Amino acid sequence: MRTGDGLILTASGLVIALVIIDIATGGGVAAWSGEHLADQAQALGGVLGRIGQIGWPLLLIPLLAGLAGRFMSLPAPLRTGLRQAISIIDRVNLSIGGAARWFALGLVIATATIVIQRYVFGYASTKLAESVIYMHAFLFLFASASTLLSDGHVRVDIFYAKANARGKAWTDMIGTYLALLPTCALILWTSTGYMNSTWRILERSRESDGLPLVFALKTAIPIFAVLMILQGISMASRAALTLSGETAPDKPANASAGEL
Amino acid sequence: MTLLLEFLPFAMFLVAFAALLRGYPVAFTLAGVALGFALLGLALGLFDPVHLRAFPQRIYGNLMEMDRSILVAVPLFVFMGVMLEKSRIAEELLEAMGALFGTMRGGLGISVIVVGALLAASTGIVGATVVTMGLLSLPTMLKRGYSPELAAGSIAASGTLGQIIPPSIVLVLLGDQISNAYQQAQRAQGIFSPDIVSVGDLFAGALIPGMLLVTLYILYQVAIAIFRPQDAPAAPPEEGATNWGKLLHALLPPLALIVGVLGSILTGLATPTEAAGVGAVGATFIAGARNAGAARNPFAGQIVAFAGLASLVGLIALVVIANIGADRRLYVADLGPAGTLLAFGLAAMTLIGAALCLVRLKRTGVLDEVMASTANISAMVFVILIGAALFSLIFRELGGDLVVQHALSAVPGGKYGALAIVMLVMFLLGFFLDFIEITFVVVPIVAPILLTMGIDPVWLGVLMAMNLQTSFLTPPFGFALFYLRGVAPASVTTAAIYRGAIPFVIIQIIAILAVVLVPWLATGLPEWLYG
Repeated sequence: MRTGDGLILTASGLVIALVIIDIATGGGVAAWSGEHLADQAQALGGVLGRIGQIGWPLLLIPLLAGLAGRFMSLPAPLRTGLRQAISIIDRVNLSIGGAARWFALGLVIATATIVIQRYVFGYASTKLAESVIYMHAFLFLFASASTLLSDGHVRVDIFYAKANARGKAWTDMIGTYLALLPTCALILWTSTGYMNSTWRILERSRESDGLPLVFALKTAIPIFAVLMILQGISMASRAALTLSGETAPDKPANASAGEL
Repeated sequence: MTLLLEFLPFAMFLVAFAALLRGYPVAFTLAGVALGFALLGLALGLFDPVHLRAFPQRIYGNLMEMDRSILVAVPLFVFMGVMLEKSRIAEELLEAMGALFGTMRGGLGISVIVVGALLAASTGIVGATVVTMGLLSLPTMLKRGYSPELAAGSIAASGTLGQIIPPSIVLVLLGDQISNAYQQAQRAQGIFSPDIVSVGDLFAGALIPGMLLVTLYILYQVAIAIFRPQDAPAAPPEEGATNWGKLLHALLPPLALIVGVLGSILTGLATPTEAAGVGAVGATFIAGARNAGAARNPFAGQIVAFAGLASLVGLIALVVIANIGADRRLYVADLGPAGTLLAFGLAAMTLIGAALCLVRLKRTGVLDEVMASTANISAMVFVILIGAALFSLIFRELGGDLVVQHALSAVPGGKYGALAIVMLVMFLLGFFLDFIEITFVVVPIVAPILLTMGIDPVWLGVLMAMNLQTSFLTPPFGFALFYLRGVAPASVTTAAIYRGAIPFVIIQIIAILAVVLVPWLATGLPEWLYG
């Protein structure tokens, strides 16, 4: 078992359990969600939105710590706080990324199944074809944060590779606050109306025999933004520790970057 | 004010370039610069923030709709490539080919080119190919007395073949962008039943130029062996004992995979995505049969893996047989109960074999590595697409495409002049940026303009792909040279790597000129195949 294997097993178990309950109760789950899911989601979305509105100044802590750390040594609680934030965020995103990589295998199996069904038996399933797109989207959206952790998002490293630890920390700090966080904030901010409209009608596939889960697929976009914000905070906290003369915690060893 | 209007998009490009050099991940740098210029445009009253409101919808439409399923070919091809890489095909191929050709003058160089071409068609991952050959072939070639320049140049050049020989990820992404641009260009011209250019067209178009490059590389090796024999000496004959069994063991799997995947795409039997999915399963069988990542390979497991692979091949054969000479598409069910039974049996056997291979690969950790690499590369590619989409959106809203259009139509020489300028800019950008950024940022801006001028889309795509491949190889910033520098022994100086790459860059330029002068090289095969 590796990081994320447990998470994907639990998630698959949940989905299977829901499907079984749905079949056993003759469409009970579908009926319940048709009636209540939109309202529940609306309420949850409101709470999450409120948390974001109130909580966003917390995101500035690593920046302020990094700037202050140039002139003074950081107070001990702040240093431990940053380290703890890094460790928690990294663990969360490694599990999610570790779970998401299974979608790579899922893609292969589903595509091969589609091909055999179609070319050998002359039969096509819209649901299976759509599930390929879902897995594709979940794969890159949910693996993106752990990819940032393992430095798999390509950089132009002509100068970066030659920079010392402080130079790299500055790049990471500035980039996170000027590029990553604003981009993700834009995605979140513009997602509110988008999420409202898709959850209100519990948007389904345009095909009548497709998957009725388009709202879940679209929700992956703001989740991606949240995960990236978290990982950006972890990156900025590492940079803040480096800039204040501390050694930042090591990155987890099992994170492997791919090369094209 | 008009001056500012003309200037703003250029400034956006320059700032993006400067910001990228700082080294923060490209995807977010592009998006961040775009947002900065959106704010600037907002302050100057040139930009309406309503365009930003649909950004999540744009991400969804660009990447997650059913009709974007061509993009799924990217993770599938990556899965296939990494899986093959882990099954140590490259190592075996190099050894077997070296034994076959090594006793000739220039033979090792030729075998590096041939293996590079095979890996290009089967794995298509430049970094991995250059690193593997740099670790294995470079020391052997040096030991045999090859000049460091020739050895390094051959390895770097044959590694970059992965970008141009189909199926390649560059061609999938480039083909997708060009296909969008072509539709846009035709719509702008008022053509409402547009021609469609597909990734398959680009694969077919790149095949002959790719083969041309391989041929030229080999001719160069031959020429060196004739005119400068001291640079490419032969190995002593006692090392030439060709073990045909070993050669077949190394050569058959990738060859079969290439023929199957490329053949089904080029004949129009399957879409690139479908072919990539079956290719990924095939690569899993190959890795499982070799028990990749484990020290031992128990016989029983090997047999089940081979049985699964044989069943998969059997299924494919069944489909082909059912459709030979048929006017309409036939399925196995049409072959009667025996055929159906056979098909079910083979499918079940394939399933069992695949399951066993996956268990073996999970136990050795290879599956985890393959999935993790696939996830990382997908995230890297598609998040850049998200950032680049924001960049192009704001660039366009600030009037950037009009500015580029004016600039391109002001170039003397009509469409060929414009094409030449675009190629030059892409080549220069290729020193600093990866092909992914160039494909996602530059192509959507310039391709519709060039296509409206009447340039053939397949020809344009192939030229762009060859151009990017060349910049991968060109000193001092070519990526392939960096990869090689990372694994080359200290006795091979960086200057030697650069000097060795130059003849291959010249070969590239000759090949590009050939495709420019004889467009048939790129357009002939797709026309012949698809009419």
